[in-house]
Amino acid sequence: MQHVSTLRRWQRQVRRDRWLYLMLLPGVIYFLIYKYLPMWGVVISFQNYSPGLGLFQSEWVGLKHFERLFSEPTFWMLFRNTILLSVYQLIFFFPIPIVLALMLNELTQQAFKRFVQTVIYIPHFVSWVVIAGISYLFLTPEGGFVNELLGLLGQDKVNFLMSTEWFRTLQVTQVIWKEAGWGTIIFLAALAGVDTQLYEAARIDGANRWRQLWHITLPALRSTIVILFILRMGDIMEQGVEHILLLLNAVNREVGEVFDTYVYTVGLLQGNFSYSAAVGLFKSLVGLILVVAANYLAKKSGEEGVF
Amino acid sequence: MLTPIQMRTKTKWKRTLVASGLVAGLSSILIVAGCASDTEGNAGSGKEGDASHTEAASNQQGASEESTKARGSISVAIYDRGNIPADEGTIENNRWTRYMNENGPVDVKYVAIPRFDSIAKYNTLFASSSAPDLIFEYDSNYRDQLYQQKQLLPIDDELLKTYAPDYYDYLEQYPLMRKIGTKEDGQLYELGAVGTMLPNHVLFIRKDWLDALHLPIPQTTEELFQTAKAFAEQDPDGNGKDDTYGFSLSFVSGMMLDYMFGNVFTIYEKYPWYIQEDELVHDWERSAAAVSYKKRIYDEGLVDKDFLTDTKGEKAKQDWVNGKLGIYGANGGFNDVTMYEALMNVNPDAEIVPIALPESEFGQFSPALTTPIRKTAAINASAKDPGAVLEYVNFLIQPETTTTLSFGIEGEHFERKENGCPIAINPEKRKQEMGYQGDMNMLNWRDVQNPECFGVTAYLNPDMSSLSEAAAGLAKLRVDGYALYVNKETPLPLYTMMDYMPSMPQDLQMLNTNALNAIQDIWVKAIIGGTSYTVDQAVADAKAAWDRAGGERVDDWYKQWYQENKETAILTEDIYSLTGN
Repeated sequence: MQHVSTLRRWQRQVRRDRWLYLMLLPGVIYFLIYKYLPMWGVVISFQNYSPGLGLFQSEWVGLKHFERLFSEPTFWMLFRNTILLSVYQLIFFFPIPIVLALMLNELTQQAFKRFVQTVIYIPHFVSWVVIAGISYLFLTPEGGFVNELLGLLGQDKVNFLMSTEWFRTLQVTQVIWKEAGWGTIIFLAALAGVDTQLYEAARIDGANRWRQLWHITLPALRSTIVILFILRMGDIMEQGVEHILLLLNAVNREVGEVFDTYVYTVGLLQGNFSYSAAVGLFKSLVGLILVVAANYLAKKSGEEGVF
Repeated sequence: MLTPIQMRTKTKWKRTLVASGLVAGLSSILIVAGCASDTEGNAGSGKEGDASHTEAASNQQGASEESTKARGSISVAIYDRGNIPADEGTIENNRWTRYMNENGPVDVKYVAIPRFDSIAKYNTLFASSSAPDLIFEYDSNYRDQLYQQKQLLPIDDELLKTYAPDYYDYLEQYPLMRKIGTKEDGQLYELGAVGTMLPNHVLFIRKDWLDALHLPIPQTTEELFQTAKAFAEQDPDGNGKDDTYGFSLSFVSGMMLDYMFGNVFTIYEKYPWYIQEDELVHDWERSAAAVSYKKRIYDEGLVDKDFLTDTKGEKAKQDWVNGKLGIYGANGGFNDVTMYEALMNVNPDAEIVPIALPESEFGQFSPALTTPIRKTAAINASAKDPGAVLEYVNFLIQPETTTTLSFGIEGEHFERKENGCPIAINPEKRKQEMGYQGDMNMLNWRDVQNPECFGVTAYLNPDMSSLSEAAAGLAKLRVDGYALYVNKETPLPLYTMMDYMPSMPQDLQMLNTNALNAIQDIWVKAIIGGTSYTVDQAVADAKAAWDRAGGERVDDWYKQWYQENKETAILTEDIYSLTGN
């Protein structure tokens, strides 16, 4: 009896909200077709996939490709390079949009503020190819601006583009140049939501600018920062493949090769579809674990998580 | 285009699906599966594909006569070199693709493949089951990889006889063509053509610079070094500025230095196995010598130090054309009229000559030559209609098609000389309207079909009157170049040309590629490493990397292959007598 009545109630609810469900339908179908269906593609990482044979005829090999990945001499190099680049970005890149947003927030001249915002958004729309080209012109030892300057100062020329020492600096700097301004948007939005009465009250209590920043603005941003940090953890194994491919060469490969470029090389250039799918799946798993862990920790410390 | 059998299978599938009433998302997977199993039938063996095709043909013939078979529809790869003039359309749709569709036996959809990124593009297309039915690719290694992955269709004799009888006749006439197209499983996979061995890479030097500095043409590696040094340091162009390079390390120029030392470990080809005392052995000394030499000219500042960012040699070419570079390795140098024209425009007083590769302690060698009997095409294992693909192949190798794709339309682009050979009416028009479609003609047998007008004879007796000024200037140089490069006394350093190399098992091939790429990085590091990374250290590291990767298995495999096949394989010494050279 109980069961039947639950079913009834459910039916009644569906009938009542049928228009809402109908409106939901396109979204659900979109996710099913474009997000969930393609996920079946990961099965090829457990096969020796051959496009000629297709998904259903290819031979199943279990975890062979994963075993190969972990026993590959390059595995730890890839792991180290990927994680290091992400950690450097977390340390050097992640705080910059926050600081920028706080500085913009302090501007009182609205026209000037908007002008600065527009200017710092622009690099986001410049493609990596152009950025690599600009860097090349600045840094080449054959008449590049920076090296000419070093020469004038009596210093030795530095081959920035072909060195293991400068690769990470170069990569992180380029990311900062391109994305720092764009990254402020979400923080500025959060700041716009702060109740101005709080500032008034603080001023009456005698708080100066720094105190207001410390006790009102930063706490208001805290949950945004935490959420972005959690999302960032999910991307820890990701590096812009196009960006890195443009910077890679024979000399800096030992510090520059990351999982994403490795997938490109073994998958697209050497045609090992299954193996590269296995690498990709491993990468995603690590990302997922990190997101869940970061989310758990955030909730533990009283913050709102992503899910 | 689906054959009736395939149609039947597909409708059956669909009915099953409708009956089972599955949700929309799931059913699309099953339809894909249905298609995959269809193509599998074709891929599994040529015979099966053939049988269904023949049946299809006979079904369609029905009561009517043989000639009314429905027109096939196929897709064909075409290299995109980004050189088609805007008003000619696109590489996939222009006057020549339309010509082929109007005059050929089948409907053809052309699929653009970026010339210098072809492998990534092909792999993407193959992975998504949308690769063209007829694949054109120069890279033997890549065709081999496709074979190993079972993505190529074995071409059955019966199918050939039915749909490409002329190609079949050629195979009978030139058994070597069949031999090199046949893979380890004994079946024919690759299509190609018999042509002529001609110069490809050319080592050019600025003769006017040599004269200005009173230098002879360098004969040895040491003389080449001194010449490059003089070019870089003694202001050969007399403009009072220190703005010239002696040589270049990028792309073909760098390969020239490798070949000079007989070292087949270049950015493009990595085959460091050489026949020594009746064995095929892995040699490290040639690589070491070439790397030392490159390091020396790099340290001396005779080259653009940014060579690593110039992987396609564009910067070197620019320096050469602008008169900043004294010695240059040119890819397809005797055909690159644009390069020559630009060089002469910028430097009207320039005089360039091809020179032989200087002699090294390992002997004297030639730079890369074109392959006389070459493989350029293969059929996709999932081609729906292999018969139609072969019909297109048969059409391509007709002398009329070849002439059209080489010279254009008679009366519009070319006329005939007394000896019947085609000659361009207007070189400018020919350049504009024909300068981009040469890759449609990758399967031409014109040297065999018409040795009077093509091949060595035509190469050595260019008809200057039909050529533009620049083309005529370049054509004069190629006569010397041919004598310098195409002869058995200065052989290619490879043990054989890429098209004639055996194919390794897939696991060995992967090991080989990865290990050799790692070693390539070590060589580069040695070149730019200054005193902190010596060549000796690099050789030790390279050998260690090779051992660690299990390279010994590859060395053993080569050794064994050579011992088992040395009597029958086409080796470099045989190549010079293969065709009419």
